[in-house]
Amino acid sequence: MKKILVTGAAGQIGRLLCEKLNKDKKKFIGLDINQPKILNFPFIKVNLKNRNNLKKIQEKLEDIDILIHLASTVNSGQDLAVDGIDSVNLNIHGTLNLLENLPNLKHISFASSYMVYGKPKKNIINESHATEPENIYGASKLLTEKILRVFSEKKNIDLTILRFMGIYGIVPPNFKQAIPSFIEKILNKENPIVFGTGKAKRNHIYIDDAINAILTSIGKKSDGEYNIGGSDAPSNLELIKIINNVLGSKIKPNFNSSKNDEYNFITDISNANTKLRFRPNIGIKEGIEKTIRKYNMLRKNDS
Amino acid sequence: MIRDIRDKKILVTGGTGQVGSFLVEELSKKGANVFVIGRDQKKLKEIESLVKSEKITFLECDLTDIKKNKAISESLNKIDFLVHLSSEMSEVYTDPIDNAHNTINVNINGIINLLSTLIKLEGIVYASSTAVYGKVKKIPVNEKNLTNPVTFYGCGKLGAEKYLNIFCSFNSIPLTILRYSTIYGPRNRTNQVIPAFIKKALQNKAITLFGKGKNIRDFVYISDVINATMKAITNNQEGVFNIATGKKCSTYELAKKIIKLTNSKSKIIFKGISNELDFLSDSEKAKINLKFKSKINLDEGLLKEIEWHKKKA
Repeated sequence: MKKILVTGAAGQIGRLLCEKLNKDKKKFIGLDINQPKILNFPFIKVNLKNRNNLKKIQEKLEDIDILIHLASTVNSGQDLAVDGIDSVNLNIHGTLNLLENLPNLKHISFASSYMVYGKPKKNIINESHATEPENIYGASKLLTEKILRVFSEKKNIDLTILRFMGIYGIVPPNFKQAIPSFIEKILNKENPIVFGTGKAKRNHIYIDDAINAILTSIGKKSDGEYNIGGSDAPSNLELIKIINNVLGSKIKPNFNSSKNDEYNFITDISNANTKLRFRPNIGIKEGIEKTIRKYNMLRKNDS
Repeated sequence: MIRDIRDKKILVTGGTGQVGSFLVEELSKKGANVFVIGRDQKKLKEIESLVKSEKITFLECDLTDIKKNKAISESLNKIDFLVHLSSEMSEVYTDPIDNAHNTINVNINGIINLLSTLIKLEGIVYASSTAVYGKVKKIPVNEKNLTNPVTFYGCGKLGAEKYLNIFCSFNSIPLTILRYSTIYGPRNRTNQVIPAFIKKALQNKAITLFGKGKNIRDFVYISDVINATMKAITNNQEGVFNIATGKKCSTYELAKKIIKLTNSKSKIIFKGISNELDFLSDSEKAKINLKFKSKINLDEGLLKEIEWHKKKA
């Protein structure tokens, strides 16, 4: 019998993943430093940074054979003094603390990020693109990938590394990200703010597709690195146009030229397509519609 | 642009190790104001006389708790240039997870702590290793090759490269990363293949080779490494450079050479298969940009290391 452990289970992706696993009647445990508000599945509250506390709960982890490792710092700054140590302590030491208490592990599915690549050297980025991360988040994800790789080869464990593009459609929204900030502004009849020209393209992925990618990676031989992104790669200007179309408005963006370091970031997802049989189902227009519906629900509940 | 190192305050971490001790001597000879940071004043080894004669300054401190030590932080605040060699040890614990924690502590937590105290740096040279390449599809390997380390040690080195890159681009500090091949020569206190074979040969004990001794390696002599590192400090060239000979040597050839050079009666025994990876560096980039080319050939270098082991015994 397979038993799954989901770390970061109270996070934005983890919560939804656990809901799905619950619905599918899978055997699993969620793990996080915070307890989710609604808890209807087996859950362990523990801080991965604390090696001793993890040792204490080893018994509960003994029969785990699949690890879905989502727990991570989220800050993508560049200032080592601020974010550096925390990223190492949670992402690296925390991962190691977890691994030593999973004696029967057969498969790891690790949520990595497109940020491991750094500035694109090619129009379309595949998994053998150079890895020169430009922020601490990217560096810590890359280092975790490498540590997991060495560990999994020593222990003969399958390791699936999923390098996600930016995920959208999450509630509550993070207004630092382009799509949530555009929708919020346009819903408020304000001008969305576009940094640079707004022409750079990215293959953002809708949350349901991201969760599907994780699910396709488990239960089959899927060792390797995989880009996970959407099928469409809209620019920020195109995103604003789509949002306006859905809302029947015609609000123009305000441009802020302070950040002019813009480039396309489009990942090649053919490897995930052929080996994981992963295909994003939700195009950008449908994804935006779904996201707007979620935000409207949230607003209704808040007011 | 050539950097003048005279009277520059240069901090060398790992200054008591093989590369560190020779580099400290060279920098001091060229008039730099050298600082060495290390865990234990008693383990100065070859640089003890330089510290005692006050030609260089030794700061006794563990990299992971620098911030707690005010006097040391204050000396570090004035450093102009960092040569980060720390962590010459590879796998020190028996438990692989302990090794992984240790390599991350030394390589990443250590460097992050250190960097926060170095507030007026004008450049960094980081001593990395060809261990960052790990599994390679073909040799020789140039700096653009993918990095897939097969040891936690290699992961720690690669991680430090990446964190340093981010720090240096955020703070506009030039960074030179040197990926050394397997280093040998006097003061080699590792348990790597060359000292291991020399010790056996000096005792006329059999030398065991795995997989028929066909594994290919690239051994670079210590004085060449020092020369390359000095060039990296003075030539101010940013980027990643392999530091190697680019000349291949199989473990069988190596064993034969060592037996001959020590006039040893040691026999070579072949056993099982090897799980080592073949490795050879492409060192063209260092030749072009750093004007570095290795000078010492293997026979010459081995003789010097053999002499050192004899004296030590």
